[in-house]
Amino acid sequence: VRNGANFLAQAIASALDQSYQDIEIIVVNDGSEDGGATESIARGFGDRITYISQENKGVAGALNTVLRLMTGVYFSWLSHDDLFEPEKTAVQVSILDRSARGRIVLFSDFSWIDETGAVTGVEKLDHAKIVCHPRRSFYDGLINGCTVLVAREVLMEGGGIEEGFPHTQDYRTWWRLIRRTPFVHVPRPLIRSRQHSRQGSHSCAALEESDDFWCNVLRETSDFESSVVDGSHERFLRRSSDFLRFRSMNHRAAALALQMAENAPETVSVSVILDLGPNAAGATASIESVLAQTRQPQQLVLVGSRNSITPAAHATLEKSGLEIAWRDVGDAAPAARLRAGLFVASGVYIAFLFASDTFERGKIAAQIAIMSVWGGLISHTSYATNHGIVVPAGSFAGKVYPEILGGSPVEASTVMVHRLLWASGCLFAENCEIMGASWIDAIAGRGLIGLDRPLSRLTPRAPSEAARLIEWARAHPRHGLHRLDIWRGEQRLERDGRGDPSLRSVLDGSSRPFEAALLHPVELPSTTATKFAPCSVG
Amino acid sequence: VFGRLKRAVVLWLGADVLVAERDEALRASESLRSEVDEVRTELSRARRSEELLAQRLAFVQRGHGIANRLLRDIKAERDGLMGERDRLLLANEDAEIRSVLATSDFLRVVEFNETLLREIGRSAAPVDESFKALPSQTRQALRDS
Repeated sequence: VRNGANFLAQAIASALDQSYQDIEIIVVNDGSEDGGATESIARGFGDRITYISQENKGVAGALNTVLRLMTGVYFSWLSHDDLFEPEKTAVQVSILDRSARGRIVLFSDFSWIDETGAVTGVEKLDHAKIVCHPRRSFYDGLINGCTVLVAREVLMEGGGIEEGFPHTQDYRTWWRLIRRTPFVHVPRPLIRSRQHSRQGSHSCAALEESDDFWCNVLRETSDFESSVVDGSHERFLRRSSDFLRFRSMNHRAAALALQMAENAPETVSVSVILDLGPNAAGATASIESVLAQTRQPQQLVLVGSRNSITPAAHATLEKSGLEIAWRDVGDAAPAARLRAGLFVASGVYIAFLFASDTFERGKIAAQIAIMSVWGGLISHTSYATNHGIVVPAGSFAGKVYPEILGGSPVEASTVMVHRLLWASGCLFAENCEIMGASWIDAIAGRGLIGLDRPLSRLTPRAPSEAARLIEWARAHPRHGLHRLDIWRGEQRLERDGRGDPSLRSVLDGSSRPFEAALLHPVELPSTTATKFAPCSVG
Repeated sequence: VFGRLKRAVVLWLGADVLVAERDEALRASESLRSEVDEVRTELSRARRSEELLAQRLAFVQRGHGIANRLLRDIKAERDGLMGERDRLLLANEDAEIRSVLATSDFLRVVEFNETLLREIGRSAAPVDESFKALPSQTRQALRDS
């Protein structure tokens, strides 16, 4: 407390009134210059509190003094103008006990009070959202420092409270902690936060410091880190801009966020994994289709032997200026080949392409634009076959799980993923060689972005894996629960004749399942994107 | 006599040339030997660094495998907790805390996994680059070996 004689007595009384009794209250007089008024109020509580007087070091300095002297395990702070609810400590300690993990940071809702102590409102945070996205509590500025209860050890490991920033010391500390410690929201108001005319947090200096802090946060949050929060860097920046402009008045930081968001789709790195396959005869066309993109990738990962592409293609690659990486995995299954490519892919967004297929010119740009703005982790597009048939697979989009178990039109050469999916262990599991299984795992529980434009040109490729995919889904602990959708998949196989084991080997060599479902394919010009939903898609 | 003398002079001169040629050959052989030694040293160093790189790669890949297993376990736990919450249609505080902790753990393992994947990418890709940087005779020696 510094010059806080006006509300100090109420604050100390609220701390003493805690229903949880095993607490130690330390009051730090941080160089008050009010003729001893603050000191006399604090001393009035006698030995029920520990009183420390020190020269002015700011809030962080006072808190660090407490952290050094305290004998308790958990630490909580209270500003002289705020009040604890009587059950605050009891509720939070009981949560820590029940969770059996001391290394978490607890924070809560809070009530607003005016100078007289009357409640003027309650700040109820969106608990359901915080449960699903715990880190948003920091990036959306939802953590009120006085609601926090945290183990002293956790704070001390991070170097205590950061000094030298009188208005942002709390958020600087949370920023260090949020990356390594879970923040758990308690959905009930556990403190009363006072709004009054002499609050330092409303001064110009406070806004300036706060703007600087949030600008730093925006600059130092990596593409990957921001995608963990919001699915893409652009979405993270746009949401941050809204928060900074409308909820915290950090206009300079908000403008920076918007400017960075505008540039995000241009600057984000992209890798293309090109599977040359056992026979790379068509690779020249696919390589050229990658090089002809309106939005060039930064890296091209070629999976296959160097000798499998023509000298002309080698020369084109050398001239392209792209970072080229090679992976030779012999004649492994397609899923294993793409998996090998993923290990060396460095891009934030990763597109897949088989040597027999090609990209249309704007494919990468279109997919990045939509994934970046929506924060989606996986997208796919419609495609044209080399016979000129447009397959509107891109209309299969949105929350398509568990429907996807009944039949999937997703083709690898139309897919782009965020590398967060790969790091989440969703793609191409080591022991599973079924390509479609990866798409199902990636889509389960999240949205699939679909672009209903034929942005890839595909050559029908054997064999179909639909029968194996159904067997895999049936045995899967999560997907196996969706029996109705799996049954629909089986029915579709029956209808296509694939259900008959005697026919399966023959039919496995036929065209893609989605195409097979088009009983009377409509011949369309390859540039026309037309919506028609075959019955098998459901 | 003159003829003999002439022959002796020619032999003497020839011997001198032969000695010079022998010295030259010795010097060349010496330099060749040191070049061969250099290539051998380079080769053994390259093999050693390749071995170390392979060991590091194997180690990081094991870490990635462990991270993937952890992710599967945490995901299963979180799915179970979410399912429980949806079934009961009631917010169970304990289940929710466990679910937040599972989500936080999941994110931390994802970030750890990403670090491992970047390391794997770095360890796997530069083999080619370091190979290119070696002198041509060493590359040839490596190929021959």
